[in-house]
Amino acid sequence: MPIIDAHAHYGEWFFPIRASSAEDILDMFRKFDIEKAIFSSSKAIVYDMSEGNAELKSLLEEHPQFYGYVVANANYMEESKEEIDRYLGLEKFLGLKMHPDYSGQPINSPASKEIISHSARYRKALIVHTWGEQGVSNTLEVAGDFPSLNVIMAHMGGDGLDGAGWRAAIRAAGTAHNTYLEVCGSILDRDRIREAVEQVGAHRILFGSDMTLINPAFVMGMIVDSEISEDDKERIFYRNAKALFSI
Amino acid sequence: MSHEIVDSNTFFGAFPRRKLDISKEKLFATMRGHGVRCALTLSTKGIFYDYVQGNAETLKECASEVTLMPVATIDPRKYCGEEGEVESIGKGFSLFRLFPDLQSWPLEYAPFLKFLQELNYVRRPLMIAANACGMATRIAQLAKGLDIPVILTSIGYWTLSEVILLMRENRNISVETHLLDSPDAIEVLVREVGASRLIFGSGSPFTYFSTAFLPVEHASISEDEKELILGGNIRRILGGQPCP
Repeated sequence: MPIIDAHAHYGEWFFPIRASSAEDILDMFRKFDIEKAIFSSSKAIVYDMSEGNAELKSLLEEHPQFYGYVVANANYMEESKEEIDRYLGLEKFLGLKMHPDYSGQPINSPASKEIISHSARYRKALIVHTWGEQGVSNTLEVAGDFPSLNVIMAHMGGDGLDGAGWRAAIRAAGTAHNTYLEVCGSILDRDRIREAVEQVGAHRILFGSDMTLINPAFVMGMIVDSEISEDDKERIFYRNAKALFSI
Repeated sequence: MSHEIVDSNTFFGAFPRRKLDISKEKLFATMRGHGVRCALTLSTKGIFYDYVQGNAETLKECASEVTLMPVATIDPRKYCGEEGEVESIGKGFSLFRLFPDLQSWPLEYAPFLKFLQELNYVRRPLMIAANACGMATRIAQLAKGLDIPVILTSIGYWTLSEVILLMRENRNISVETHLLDSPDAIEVLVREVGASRLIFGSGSPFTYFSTAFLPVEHASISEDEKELILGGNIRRILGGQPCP
């Protein structure tokens, strides 16, 4: 079953991960039948937005199966708007990525909303690191404020033994029809995918791996073992992203 | 190549924090569905309620199922260090497992320190969660000089550098694999400390079996190394106790 990975990263991490080069990524594509992936720059998220976005653009130009999200940082308003205008009109950039935890700016802050509003003219998706019940609530507010925007809740609310984050995300996606649940994480509680399919529908769930931070096989295992139909698995692994991003 | 899988990290019982079927039947279905030969397991009653009753339930349920190998636990919040208690509990069990993550007790904790002394006396391996940065370091310091294998669980990308360093310096430390989630975590550990120090576990039925299994199955390591990780190492640590 081919895969489109809707949540990938390019760059280094501050952990002992050696498999971070383009060649390592291509190895993972071959190993796991990943056809296409949409990357954001780890450097842009955790350090320098402009440097990271520029490095990602260079990578995308070399690999037809690689696509990108431009990263914006709400602490840098004018620079973020420039980054959006520099990249989001390009064919290989499919959306805007914002990471409230690293920037310290909630996605529903006035600054974040101004950036999202600025990006709206490009009619491309917004992917938000969405963690915990508060993170879900914040992203839901943005989805409500921008009803014509497709909003991807990365990590579908996050992990935790009681499932509070991902269950909140499922409830939120049930009320906001312009939201998508992206599934990756480190602690993948059983039943989260089945419950999401039952309550939201498989058509609004996207496979993402979080590579090169997380092993695609780790997240694939969750979909493979989920008690849902093969058709739903194919939607999650491939068809939903293909339709959403027209790739 | 199919491997004989021993799953070192499984549970059965009840779970209070959300509706989730972690019954023995569910565990068996998971084992059957993935070709697991046998599993080390314990009742969650011993984690969330009472370790004496939990250990009794673990022994009872495993006695009737030859594919289940019982794991003992104590809860340091209740354990008062009675002389001989660990030795008494240990009868019928080949390994102890502790849950500072789920029970919220610190490692600098008199009941835990006393337990380590007692455990060293009865020579049983210890499996213990080290899910946050610094926990593995403290466990290694506290276990220094003990003559027992220590298996760290819940190690992910955020604690990987810590355990690599500790495993280089402490030959008795191994890592259970279910949260080794970075793209090349298995390969990095095999290269840095050797395949003999990795113990396969899934966390079933709390989590998805394949989440733990596929990274090992797809790792760029030899089939012999996979064989060790998926079962050989835990058999060696348990003294070659046979799986049925």
